[in-house]
Amino acid sequence: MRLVVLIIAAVLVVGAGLAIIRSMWGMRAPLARGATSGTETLWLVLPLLMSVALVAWTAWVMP
Amino acid sequence: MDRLGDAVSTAAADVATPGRGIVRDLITLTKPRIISLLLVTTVCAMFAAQQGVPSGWLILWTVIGGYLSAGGANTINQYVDRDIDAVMGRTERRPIVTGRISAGAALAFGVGLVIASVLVLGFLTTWLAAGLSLVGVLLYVGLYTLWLKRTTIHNIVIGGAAGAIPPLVGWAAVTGDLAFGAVLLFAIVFVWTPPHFWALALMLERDYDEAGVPMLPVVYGEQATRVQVLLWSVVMFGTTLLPYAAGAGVTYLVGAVVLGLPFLWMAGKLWRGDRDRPWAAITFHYSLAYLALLFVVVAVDAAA
Repeated sequence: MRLVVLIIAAVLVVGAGLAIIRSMWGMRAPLARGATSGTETLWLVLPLLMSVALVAWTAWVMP
Repeated sequence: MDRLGDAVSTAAADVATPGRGIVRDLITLTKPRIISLLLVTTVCAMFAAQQGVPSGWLILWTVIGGYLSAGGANTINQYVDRDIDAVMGRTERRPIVTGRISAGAALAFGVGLVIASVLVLGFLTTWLAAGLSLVGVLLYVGLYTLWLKRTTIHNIVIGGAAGAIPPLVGWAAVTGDLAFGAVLLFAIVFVWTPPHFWALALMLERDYDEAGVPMLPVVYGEQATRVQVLLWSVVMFGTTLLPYAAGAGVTYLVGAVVLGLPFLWMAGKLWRGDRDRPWAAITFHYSLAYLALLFVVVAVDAAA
């Protein structure tokens, strides 16, 4: 049961995370205020990398 | 007229009892309503850390220290943002903006609260809890308020880390260290922040635009923001399932699903742009109740 829930969580987090990066990445060009920079990319990718790492960590500690 | 009447009555009361007016303004600076939600996450994390009911005294000191810490951070935030607050309708009546409290006095009050919070948490709970609360203040004031808020659309995503610190403080107050469960609670608040704040930003888009704050709807528009609210809601829902996979009970799983599905449904209605109801406001208000109830479920599951 816990494995099934973990797989569902992983699909949701990774799937939506990739969709966020894809949608925000595509919108970088018409950015109205301020230029896109490496820092902006970091802010976009970092939280989602953390979420994926959390899923992996959960799999590691799962009873 | 009612609002004008209230203002006149309040002003008259302040003239009659100036001390009470100052005290009320100082309390207003701390933003007590926002802090109440932070403290719910703090106390419920204490139950999870204890895997039962923590001592009443420990809860009391942690709540007092947490209030002082968050109140100090909120006060310093209003000191820094007093130029923005003056041009936003929602904040133009705050004590510093109206001059009821001078900027310098507010800054001193905020710093004093932060120092007091470190002492209370350090001496009466654990020094890790005190250190974490100080990190939360530094993240909120330094990372969010001074840097990200005025420079990037990702301001509330990264800045959300500050609001996710209280569960860590609660956990550390009980155990003196941090376990994986504490990290999960931090992550839940962290990923809850974008859909919560962007729903609010959709309601206040004009205010943020006039103040020059690059919130997502101001820079990319409403539809792009609605998409992000939905996607982050999915990330949030998935993240709330992780504690069960990591060992939490069925009570938690049922609570997370029962509370999370309506959140997804509202975010979906918002994304579709349904005009039948004000879905941004509904999603925002539900998100507040959602986080509080989810953490209550965490506490109940741990104590059961």
